[in-house]
Order: sequence, then structure tokens, then C-alpha cells
Amino acid sequence: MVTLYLAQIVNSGLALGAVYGIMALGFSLIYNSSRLINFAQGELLLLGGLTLFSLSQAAHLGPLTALLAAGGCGYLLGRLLFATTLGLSINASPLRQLMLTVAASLCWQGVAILVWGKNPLLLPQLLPIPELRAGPIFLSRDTATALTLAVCSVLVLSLILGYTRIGRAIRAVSMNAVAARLQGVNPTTCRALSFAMAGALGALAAMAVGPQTMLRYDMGLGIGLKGFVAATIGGYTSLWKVFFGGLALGALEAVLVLVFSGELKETVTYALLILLLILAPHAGGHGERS
Amino acid sequence: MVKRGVLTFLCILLFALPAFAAEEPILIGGLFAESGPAAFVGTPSRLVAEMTVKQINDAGGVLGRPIKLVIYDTESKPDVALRMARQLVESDHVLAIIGPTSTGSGMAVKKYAEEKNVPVIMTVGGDPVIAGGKYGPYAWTFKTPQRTSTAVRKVYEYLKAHDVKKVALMTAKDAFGQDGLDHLKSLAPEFGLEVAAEETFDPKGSDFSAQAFKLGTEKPQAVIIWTIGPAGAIAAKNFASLPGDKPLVVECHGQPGPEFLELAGPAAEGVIMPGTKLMAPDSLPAGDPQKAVVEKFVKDYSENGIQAKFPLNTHSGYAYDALILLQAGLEKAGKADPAALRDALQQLTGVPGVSGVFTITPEDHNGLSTDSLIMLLVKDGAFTPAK
Repeated sequence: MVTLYLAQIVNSGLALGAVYGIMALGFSLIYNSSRLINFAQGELLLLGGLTLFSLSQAAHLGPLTALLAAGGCGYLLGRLLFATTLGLSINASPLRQLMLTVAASLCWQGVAILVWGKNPLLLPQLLPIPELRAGPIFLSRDTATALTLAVCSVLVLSLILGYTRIGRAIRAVSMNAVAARLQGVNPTTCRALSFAMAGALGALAAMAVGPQTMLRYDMGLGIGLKGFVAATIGGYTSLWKVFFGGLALGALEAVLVLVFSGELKETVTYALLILLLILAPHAGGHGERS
Repeated sequence: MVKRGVLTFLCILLFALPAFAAEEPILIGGLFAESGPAAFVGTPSRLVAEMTVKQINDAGGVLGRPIKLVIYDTESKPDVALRMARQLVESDHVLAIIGPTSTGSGMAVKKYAEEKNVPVIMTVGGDPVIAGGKYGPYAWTFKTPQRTSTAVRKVYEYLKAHDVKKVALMTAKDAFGQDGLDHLKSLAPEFGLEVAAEETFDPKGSDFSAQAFKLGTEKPQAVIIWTIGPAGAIAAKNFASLPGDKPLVVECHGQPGPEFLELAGPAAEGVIMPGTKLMAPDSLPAGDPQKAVVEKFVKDYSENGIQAKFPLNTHSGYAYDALILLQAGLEKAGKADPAALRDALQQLTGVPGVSGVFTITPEDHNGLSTDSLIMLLVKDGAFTPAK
């Protein structure tokens, strides 16, 4: 019985944890490049997923086209978000920038209601990843897909940031924007790009979460905040730490739900956020990316 | 002088006109949830009610008078439903009310209608509106959807016939789910069933795999999910993705409809649920008293363009039945008077509607038995009668 429970905790913890991990990566990217908590991160997931849903209804999407479509949609949504929030207020006070992302989140939610309605929509499983079984460990199809997407996202992202010119530029801006500018890096381009990459990550997270919990207009805020908690646990600076922050949060939620009850989950998650913010107020605050 | 004469003539004409008009219409109030969470049931109910009234009027009306519906939106909120009921009774002076849509609104309207002695034929799912006892008297309140206990009995009859002994229950934490849980638990012994485990869930949630897993560890032969809306499809999905042996998944009578099939996708295969005969009109035998009514309703539903906007589901016929009962009651009463209408409604026997054949008594203000439901099985992405 205990092994059964443990196996289920691993299965459902990893399924949502992987999604939180991807969301947390997006948070960290934007936070590091722009010192901004992006409250519209969940809406990037929502609209990315819904657009993908419409595409999958209109045409048959193979695994590769689905990934490219998700990346492309997310990229464009990220650029749009940047153009309508931070791009307009690059010199404004951080509070104003923050409020702009909150406003954007609500606007995008409204768009989702107007275009796709209030009923949940089931995003089909677009990647042909089978379920995995190894002894007592069982990973359902949803979990395996979410985990694969998440690990690949971290790998690709760390390659981009570590080994490409533009990746180095983004890291330079996140360490010291003024110094980077003196070296000929355009910080605005880098920030726009980090929004776009966060958008692509959001759409990939939608591919992971859509088949699990369906897509509904009001899911953005909740899942975005979970991403924020995960990023705070991970400390914003290292991609892998942030990603494992997501997995840890997912596992914690699975334990709470399975051993206690579903009500406790939200309360404990957000209580944890309060604790983290009080105990480590500078978690990543002076974030030097390693 | 001439001008004045013309004016006088016009005035006389104006006041005299109503007397020349056809018989004055019978005013009936309509309360439907056209916005809010129950709108997916309320909005098509309104369209069905309007369609039905038009049909009744085209056929000569009732007691030689046309019916006129005065419709308000309850916004799926009990307080709004009550306010609108007051308006219908006190300023529009309606004879009777059709609706509202959800159980919570129904309870709010019922209390008022009982005080004011206004007959109300509700289209709500929950039993409390006509349960009496601690829920208050129901002398003026009727409802067309099957009782929860009727649906539970239908499910249990099926399970008993298929040698199921051990069930698990998964019910929503709202009034509808609670009502289901009460009846599921109290009726289980009667059918020789053991309730091995029970879990509840938030019907607005998006993932119930934890509850599904916990119920699965008790190894029940069947699990019964009691909720309306998308949560039922999510729960079916969660059970389908459990590893190992899966129990038979049974949904409640609020689920049959295209939305369930769409949302649950492949997980819907093999799920069974009780539904009205509306969900499998082709399978009705020629002798079924409802066959003609159901077939005509399905045809009218699509010809009036409602099918295109709100594909037929198990709730579609309840507003139609409410109006058919009202018509039969008025004809039996012979006059448009609330008390006479109420008394006549209580004596209706064998009125064939879309949801069943109604036989109402002063004790039973619903009048449907388990015969009015059929068990449906999802097979190849469509509802078929379960064997």
C-alpha cells in the first residue's frame, strides 16, 4: 500500500511539477533580464495552449509541427506581451511595470473568454510518448510527456544561454545592464527576447498541462503563481535549480493531496510562498546568473 | 369641430380595441439561468420554452387563449432568482412559473412561491425542492427532471443485475453532489451493495486524480461519480489513467450529452450513466409511449436551430415537459386559476413527455419512475443503450 501511494505521488507530482518547472523557467528568464515579476506568465500558457488547440482542430499536427507551432505561437505571444507592457514602460517605475503585467493578464483572460468561451477545452496529446512502467514506478502518458517536454526545455535553454552569442548577451544584461550596454549589447532587444522565450516556454507548458487538466480561461493566474512559487524555491539564478524547484513543488502538492486533502494544497503552497518571501527576501534579488 | 370628432372617434377606438382583440393571453413566468455557471442548461431551456409556447399557441392555445411567456434571467444566483420571481408575481401578475434552472435558485423561489400560492414547475436537478420535511412544504412546487433517488435506483438496478457488490462513491461538494451522496449511501443496502470508500471533490477543480487513486486502492467493482458539468469528464479521465485494473465508471444522470464525449475523449469509452430517452431516440421500441413525443421533439429541436447552438443533451427536454404539464393541468382545471391549476396538476396521470410519462400525485410532485430513464454506454464515441 505504501509503495502504491509512493508510486502515485511520484506520478502525479512529476506531472504537475514538470509544468511548474517550465513556468518557473519563464519567470526566471524575465526576472533576470528585466527585474520584473511577470504576472501574465500564466496567460502566456493559456493563450499559447488555446491557439494550439484551435490549430489542432483546424489541421492535423504531427509531433514536430506541434512543437514548432507551440514554440512559434509562444514566441509571438511573448513579443506581443513585451510590446504592450515593458516595451512601453522601460523607464517607468518597477511598480508601474508590474501593474502593467497584471493588467495584461486580465486583458488576455478576457480575450480568451471572448474567443474560446468559458468551457474547458481538452488539448489533445500531441506527442507520441508512451506510458512508462519500471517495477513499482509508473509514469502515465501525461506525466511522461510533461517530463520529457520539461527536461528538453531546460537542456535547450541552457544550451542557448551558455553557448550562443545572443544567450551570452542575455546573461550579460541580467548581470549588469549598463556594463552590457557599454559592450555594445542592446538591453531592450535582450529583454524582448527573454519575454519571447518565456512565451515559448509557456506554450510548451500548455502542451504538457492541456491534456492533463484541460485549458480553461481562469487557469492562468493559479498556474502562473505556482510557477512563481517554484521559481522562488529555486532561487531564480540557476536553470536547473529553478526547474527542480518546480518538481519539488509538484511533489509537495501530490503528498498533501494524497495523504491529507485537496483543500490543504492551495493553502500550504501559498503559505510557503509567504514564508519564502519573508525568510529569503533577496532570493535571487541580486541575481547573478551562474 | 370635425377635427374634434375625429379625435373623439380615435379615442373611443383606442380604448375599445382590446375588447375586439382575440382572447387575452394567459401570462406564464419563465426563470432561466441565461448567464453564470448554469447558463449551459438555462439558455437552451429558454429557447425550448419559447419554441414549445409557440407550438401550443399555433395549435390554438390553451382554453382558447394563447400563452404568453414573461422571461427573466436568474444569472444562476438564488437571490436574483428570488427577486425575479417577486417581479413575475407582484408586477407581471403571472398565473404560474416555469423554472428556475439550478437547485439553489429553486429553493429560494420555492419558499416564496409557497407563501404566495403560485404554482411553479421547476427544471432543477436536486430533490430538496419537492422533498418536504426539513426542506419545507411543497404544495405548489413541481419539478420535471427525475428525482435524484430515481436516478440512483436506476444505477443500482443496473449494477445489481450485473453482479456488482462493492462500489466506491465520488461526489461533488455542491448541493447537487451532496444530494446524490445522501441517496447513494442510503439506498445501497437495499440493492445489496457495499460502499467501500467515498471521496468528495470541488466541481470547479481541474484534476481529481488523487481522489481517483485513493478510491482505486480499495478495489471497488464500480465507482459512481455524481456531478454536473465538465468535472464529470475530468473524473472519467482521471480514472482512465490509473495504472492497473480499473473499476467500471458510472456517471450520474446529469452527464449525458456531447460535451462529456468531447471532454473525456478516449476516456469516455465504456463509461455508463443513466439518461433520458432523448439520448437514444432510435433505440426506443415501437410501443414506447414516449417514442412519438421524443422523435417530434428531436426534430423540432434541430428545425428551430437550437441544435446548432446547443447540441441535444439530457437536460434539453425538461422545459418542454414543464410546459406540457402546465398545458395538461390548465386543460384539466378548465380555468386559469392558480388553485385550480395546482389541484389539476396533482391529478395528472400518464402524460407522455420527453423525459418520461408523468403521473403526479399530491405526495409525488415529480411523477417519474425509473422506467423514464435508460442506462447508456459510451461506445465508439457515442451513446448507446447499455445491455
